Amino acid sequence: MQDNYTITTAGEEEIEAVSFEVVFERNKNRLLGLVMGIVQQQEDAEEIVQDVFVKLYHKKEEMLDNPLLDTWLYRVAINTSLDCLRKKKAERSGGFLQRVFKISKEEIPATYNHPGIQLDKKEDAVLLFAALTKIPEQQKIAFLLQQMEGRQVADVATIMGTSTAAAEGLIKRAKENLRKQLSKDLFST
Amino acid sequence: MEENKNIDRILNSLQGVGQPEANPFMLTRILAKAKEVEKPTAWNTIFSLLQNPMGALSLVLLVLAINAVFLYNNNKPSFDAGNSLSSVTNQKADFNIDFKSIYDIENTEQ
Repeated sequence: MQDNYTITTAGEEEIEAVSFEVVFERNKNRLLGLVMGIVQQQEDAEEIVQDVFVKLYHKKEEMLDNPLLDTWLYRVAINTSLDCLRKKKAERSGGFLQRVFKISKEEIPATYNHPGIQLDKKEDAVLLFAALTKIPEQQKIAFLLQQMEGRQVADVATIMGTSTAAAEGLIKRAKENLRKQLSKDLFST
Repeated sequence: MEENKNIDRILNSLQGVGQPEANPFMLTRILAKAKEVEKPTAWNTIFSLLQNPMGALSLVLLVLAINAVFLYNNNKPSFDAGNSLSSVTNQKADFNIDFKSIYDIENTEQ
């Protein structure tokens, strides 16, 4: 009786582990690419993706069969990335004690090389990533989802939890702001 | 014209970006971390709410509001002033205290 119970439990755990693994394998690189685009730091991006999957592991009973799993993963990844950026910004700007005791702070690098960018586009991408740090968060996310992931506006809206018109507006404003910023960066000197 | 072309090229530089390869040990790390980290309890949720500035501010406001209610209730003027005055008058009569001035107190025997 005890043996049967043990075998059944082990079997269920194995099935759950396999499902989790499948979801992980299907989404890990996509999420890592997007998160790298948002935080522009490889180590931070890997940490964030790990945290996202740890959260999924704790919610696997309710999430693994959920048809909105992909959207949930993207939302958690985006929110965790934005939290990470805000935390770093707060550390850079508000650290009175850090200034007094001169605690070293990790800065966002001036140039960021995304590992997925094709060689001939690397220089352009460096300029674009630099400009992306200077536009509002929501515009940045909408732009990255559309450009890096090749998502339709409706998908961007679903992931960001907004209406299609709002997502379209965000992408449009992101492009306008990036255009202004790039123009300033390239031709002001 | 040339400027716009350059900017357009830069804006489109992320199109067709490849996906980076995740660390091959990431799954092992995630599973280890997931088993190590406890599932969030009610207390963890409360503490995480308090770590949020809005949560902490709400708690401070709640404490201040409770204090204000207590202060208001304690400092409220009592409406039975007439009763307390009559009770003082009764005590005066009961104990035969009818001094007019300090002179009367000092010369009660006369």
